[in-house]
Amino acid sequence: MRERLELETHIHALRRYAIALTHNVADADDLVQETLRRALDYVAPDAHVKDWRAYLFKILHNVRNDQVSRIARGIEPEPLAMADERACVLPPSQELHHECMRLAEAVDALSADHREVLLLIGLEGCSYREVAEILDVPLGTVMSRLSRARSMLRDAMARDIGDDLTDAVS
Amino acid sequence: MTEKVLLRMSDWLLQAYADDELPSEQSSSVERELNRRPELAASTRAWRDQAAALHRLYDHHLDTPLPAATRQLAEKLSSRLKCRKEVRARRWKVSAIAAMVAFLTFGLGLAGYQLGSRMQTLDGPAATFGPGLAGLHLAANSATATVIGPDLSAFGYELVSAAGPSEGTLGAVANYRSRDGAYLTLFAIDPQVAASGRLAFTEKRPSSVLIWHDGDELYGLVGDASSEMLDRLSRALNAAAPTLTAAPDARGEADPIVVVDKET
Repeated sequence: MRERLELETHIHALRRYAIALTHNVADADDLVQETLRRALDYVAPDAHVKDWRAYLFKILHNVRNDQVSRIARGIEPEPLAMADERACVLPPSQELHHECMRLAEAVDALSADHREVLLLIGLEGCSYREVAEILDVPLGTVMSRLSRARSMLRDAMARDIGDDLTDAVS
Repeated sequence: MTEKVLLRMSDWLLQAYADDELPSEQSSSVERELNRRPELAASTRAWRDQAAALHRLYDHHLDTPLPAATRQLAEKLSSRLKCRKEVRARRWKVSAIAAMVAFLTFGLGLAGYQLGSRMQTLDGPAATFGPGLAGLHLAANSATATVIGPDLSAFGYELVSAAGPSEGTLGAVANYRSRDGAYLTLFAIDPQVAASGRLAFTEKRPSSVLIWHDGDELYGLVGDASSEMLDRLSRALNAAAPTLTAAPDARGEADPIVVVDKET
């Protein structure tokens, strides 16, 4: 029973991550469903999965990579780069609303490699080691990508504030 | 260059601190450094604020129900977990039964072994079996055995004990020992009688074995001797066989069936 509840929690987290990654609820749901289909194919009834969260995130990462690779080879049409408003809930306060919008856009502007690391650690609370395992990269790469992603995010947010100030003055 | 590397290292260290990746000792030392350098403390706060903002943006998806298709797949995967648990439970049961069977087998085997050992210490003909025999069970009527056996003293072996043949026994067994402590056991079995009974012999020490048949009889020699010596003995024993068994009419050369030497 506990294992099933944990699995359900992981699937909700997986969906949240997929939405943050794609910034589109429909794409995210497709991604999660394909991930679960693959998990059903891979996991035999008598198989032992030590860490379901890491396992599901790893499959999702592979599914996403396959999609990107198919798009790059022209097998699959590129999805419309349209952010889904349902993807994030913005606070009612005007100031916070604006800040969250900027953050969402800044995250979206990151490269996929940097966005994945930032979201897995910042949003999903994965350890560096877990992220290294999920993305199949060395630990140093995780730390380096995280540092870079945070810097880029900070710079993007600072730039937006600067633009806002310039707009206000002019 | 070195300064840049150090700067990067310190950046990574601060990040690891902000993400609770450092062991407590190292974390304490970073905290002390942050108290001295407020600009670094501001960086770590900014990273934590970024994470908090991400949660504000996306956490509401944790509370929204899963789409129907996702839920169906999730339930299938959950039932797979259930299956896995059942398989695990079944495996446990099988393991438990196997362990119990192994335990009982071992226990009964041990009891049988002890029983066998006790049988060898009982008073009577069986007790006279020499130390060369780890276990010998004549299936029928061994208590009526009488000491008989061919004379092998010419080969340095003295008769120590013997059993059979008599009515109801499967054959005869005679035990010999040499002056230097080597042992030798001779079996003479009537296959017609033995077919309806069971004669078992177990031996702990490495031994040479020679089995041969002659006419209707089957003979075996087991002992601390080379295969050449067993062969010589078997040929000599053929002449003595009438004293061991109900003498067959036709007697010829020994015809070895199996020779297993202890060196091989």
